[in-house]
Amino acid sequence: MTNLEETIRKCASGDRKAQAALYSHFSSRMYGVCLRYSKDAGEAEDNLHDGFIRVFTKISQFGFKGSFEGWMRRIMANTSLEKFRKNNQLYPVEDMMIYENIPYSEETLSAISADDLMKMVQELPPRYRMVFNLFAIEGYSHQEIAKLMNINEGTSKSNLSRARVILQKKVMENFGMEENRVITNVC
Amino acid sequence: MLSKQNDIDQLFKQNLERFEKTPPGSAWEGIEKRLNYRTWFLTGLKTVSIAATIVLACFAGWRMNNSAAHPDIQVEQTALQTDKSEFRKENLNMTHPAVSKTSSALVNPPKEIKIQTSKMSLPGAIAANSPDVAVNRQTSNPRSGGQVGTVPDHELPANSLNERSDTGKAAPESTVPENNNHPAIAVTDTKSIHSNTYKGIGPDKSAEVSLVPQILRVNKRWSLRAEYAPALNNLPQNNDQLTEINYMGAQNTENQKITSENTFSAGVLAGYRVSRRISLRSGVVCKNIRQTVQNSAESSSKRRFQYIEVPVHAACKLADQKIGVSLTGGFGAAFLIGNSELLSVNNEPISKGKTANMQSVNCSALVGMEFGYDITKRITITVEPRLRHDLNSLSALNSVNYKADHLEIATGLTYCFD
Repeated sequence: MTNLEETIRKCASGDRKAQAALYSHFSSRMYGVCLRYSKDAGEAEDNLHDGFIRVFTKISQFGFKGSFEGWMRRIMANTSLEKFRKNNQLYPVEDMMIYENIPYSEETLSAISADDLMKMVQELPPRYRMVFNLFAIEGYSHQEIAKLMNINEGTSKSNLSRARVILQKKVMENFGMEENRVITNVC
Repeated sequence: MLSKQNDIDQLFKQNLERFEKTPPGSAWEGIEKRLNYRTWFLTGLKTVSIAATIVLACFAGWRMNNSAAHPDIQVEQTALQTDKSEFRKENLNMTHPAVSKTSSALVNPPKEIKIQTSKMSLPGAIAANSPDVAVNRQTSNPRSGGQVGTVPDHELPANSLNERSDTGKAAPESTVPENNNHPAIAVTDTKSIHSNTYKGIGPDKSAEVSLVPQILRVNKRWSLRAEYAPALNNLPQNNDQLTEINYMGAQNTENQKITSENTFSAGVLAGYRVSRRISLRSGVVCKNIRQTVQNSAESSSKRRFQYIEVPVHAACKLADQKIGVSLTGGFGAAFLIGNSELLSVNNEPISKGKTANMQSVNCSALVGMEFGYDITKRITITVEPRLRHDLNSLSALNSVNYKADHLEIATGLTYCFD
């Protein structure tokens, strides 16, 4: 894309070619964001669809003051969050274990691909997935997450903790690391 | 080496923050289709809005232009505009053009006569001193064949008033003498139309009362109605409607059994009386449709669709007695605003999602019979059984014919404005 600003202006005026160009430029990155917030590719595609519709209908409100990609990322994340809030998804409460001081070797780390990690995130219960994404990857504080998701700050912290435990467990199961110490059972 | 719990965060952040993956090719097609639909919808909405504005403006203009021709208004205007001195200058034995115009404009001249006869108990002195006497002598007796003349009070038969006062009933029109231009008749008529000043004077109150609702009814053009309508519907028992719930393979289940539950709608409508019999209504109605889908012996899901409907109804009054009867009909456009589906296994809620491929706008037509009872002069309670038929399928899939018939019992309260 040669001139992003010009493309954005054309998109705002409803130019379908400019919209297609913008989509082809950003779709891969935005799909990555949607995948993180979704349980599978189908849901991610739905979120991508709704997110881009929102981008194209609200693009005239973009003030060229910050990063356009950051603005789109926020829209994608908000679209996923809204869908989560709307559906108020039920999620299973699992038995979880807390691990600490788990040794990871460089070999193990190199064996883990981004696709594997994405799959692990997608397998998290919806609320844990949302909180983990917002806190660990997007960098939101618990206070902000609590506001975004209409939950208590304590709930956000608790959900993050449980998400971490589940992810640790999955990493160990999938990449052959031994469980060193089981501290306690939760729930 | 990752040795702390927060390192899990780092591990995922490093790998996933800039994660990219090419979406399926169909994704852009879906977006483009939606954008095209949105453009089409907005263009259509603008066109319809402009057309509706023009039609409303034309209608309002037409009504304003024709309001002078309305019978009741014309009687008043004629009475106000008529200059008594002008009439006196004219030969009263001849029918004044304005008078004949007024008489011909009256929709129900016999009723006017009836009203006048009912007022004959008024003292003649009042009539004789009234400036409206001459005017109304002419207007009140169109049957006199132009032989209209002023008759002084002292020349009137002494018993011409008392006869009716004694009986307490309005004399039949045929009993009114052809040349009886008693001033009291005209004065009472004019005053009653203007301000009902003589309401209650004289023994014939029943006839007076009969005049009042006629005038009020014409003025009650605008009304506001709140209604609640439980409905039974006959949605098809089997369909291929998909669900977005992605749990236990419940979506796209074959041989689903669907049971429609009783639904309801509630809303507020503004009404406008176009004529004595015809009235139009439109407003906003919230509508719910509920279904239970039996996916298997253990698995079932409850669907709930919420719509905002904009109906346009017309009512034609068939009977205007104590209980009014009207034939109603109209159309409605319902916009889907809520769509939820709760999946349960062995009656335990498992997951929540949406029913897929639902049409965003549904149109329907209805016919009904409305029964109304006036609780007060302004408030009417109504019961309206009506049949509604969906004009397009609830499903956006061409393969699914999902039109429903509804039997609604609408109960409402209508408040009429002056």
